[in-house]
Amino acid sequence: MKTDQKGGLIRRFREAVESLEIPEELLGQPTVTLEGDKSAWIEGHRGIVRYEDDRIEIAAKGCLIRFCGKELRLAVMDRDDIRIVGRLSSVEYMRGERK
Amino acid sequence: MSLSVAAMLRGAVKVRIQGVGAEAFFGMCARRGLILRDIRRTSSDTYTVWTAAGQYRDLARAGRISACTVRILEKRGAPFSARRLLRRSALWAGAVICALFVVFLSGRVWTIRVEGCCDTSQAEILELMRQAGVKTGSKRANISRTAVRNHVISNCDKLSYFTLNFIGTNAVAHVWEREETPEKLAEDIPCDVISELSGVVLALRVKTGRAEVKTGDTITAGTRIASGTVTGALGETARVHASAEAVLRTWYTISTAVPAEVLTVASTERMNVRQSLVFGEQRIPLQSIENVRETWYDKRVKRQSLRLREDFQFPIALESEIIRPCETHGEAVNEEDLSAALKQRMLLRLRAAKPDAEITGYSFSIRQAAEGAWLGVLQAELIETTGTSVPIG
Repeated sequence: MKTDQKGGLIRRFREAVESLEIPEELLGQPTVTLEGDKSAWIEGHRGIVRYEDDRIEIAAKGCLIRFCGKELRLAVMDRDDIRIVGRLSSVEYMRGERK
Repeated sequence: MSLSVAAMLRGAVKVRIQGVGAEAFFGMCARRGLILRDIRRTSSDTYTVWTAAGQYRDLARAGRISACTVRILEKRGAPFSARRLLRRSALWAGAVICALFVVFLSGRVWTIRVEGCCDTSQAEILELMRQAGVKTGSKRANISRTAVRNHVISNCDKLSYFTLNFIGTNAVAHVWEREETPEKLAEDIPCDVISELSGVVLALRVKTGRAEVKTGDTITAGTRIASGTVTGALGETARVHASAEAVLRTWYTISTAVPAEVLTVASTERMNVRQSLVFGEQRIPLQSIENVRETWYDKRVKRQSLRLREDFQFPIALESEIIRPCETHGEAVNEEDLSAALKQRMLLRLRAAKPDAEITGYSFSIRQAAEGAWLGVLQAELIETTGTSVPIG
């Protein structure tokens, strides 16, 4: 019963935040910008989890972002941003997979 | 990888990262604010990264913590190039010598140009400038432009003004030649007015004085057209400054003789090239120079100067003389062509000699004067104005 109440509160809180239309990056959520299938900007990352030629996994708040493609590489990486270049084929958000 | 200008100025290093926890290493670098560029995976546990040279220490520290080996593979940018260049003492010595050489050369005059000469010759002006200290190789700071100007103007009567300007290593002299104008008598000096031309008086304008000729009279050069000695109403005589001018109809005959045969000069296919190095005024031939045997030859000189800019050139030039011997043969001229050309030229000559006169008519004839010569005769009728003041007595 208590769990239901807590879940309800969290849901209401989320709904309240969404109604305020605060930008995602201010809430720590990652922003992914794709430029065609040639490059992608990821803002608000939390590090690299896997780096291979056909797959790059980036850790972000509450999720793991997986970029698949060919000849992928990291062009730039700093505290907040990562730029991936190559031939992108897919982007996946995986919630709950990151420990 | 091509680096930006800022990265080149700061210096950049290409680093090899090796270790199983490379992903963690990259995360650590990002958290520490290090900027990594062009991260490439070369094998399963090896990566190469470009980063700013100043961030290498932090990168190595992160590598130690995350159990990765960090090794520099390549260095690029201004700090590394400067460090490499600093060790090359001969290069710096050469650069300093070159700079001193440029400073030394740029403070001197290497070319002298004279503009504006018509009646005076450039050689005459150059000689006067040389006397005043302006010659090839002269130190520019030692040349007083005022002194040069005074020297040239005072030693050449034909000049009314002279300027000397320095443009880089070029000295450009500009001359203004004196225009001869007849001396005008002062208004208070009693004088007569005489004619300088011979002809028939078409009109006479007397402002002061007494007219001595009338319209229709035929006068010769030197005839008094207005007198400054006037008689008053009571019979007294007075001397005044006469002012008058007469419009005359004048006639001129000009003749020019030209040879009946013209010499045609045509350059042959043969060609000799002489090359020489020119240092200032010194010429060093690069080939042994042999005299040109032919009387007629066509010579073209091509000079290539070593120059940095338009206004700065070194006093070294490569001069190539291309000499083509010519063959000559005589050719009889066509009478019609000669007549047209001669008439045109003689009319131009007349207009140049009498720029203020109006040519009202002319006739031209051509005839064979002597053996091997044509004589062109131009008779022209002009309308001119005359009247020169001469003091009485």
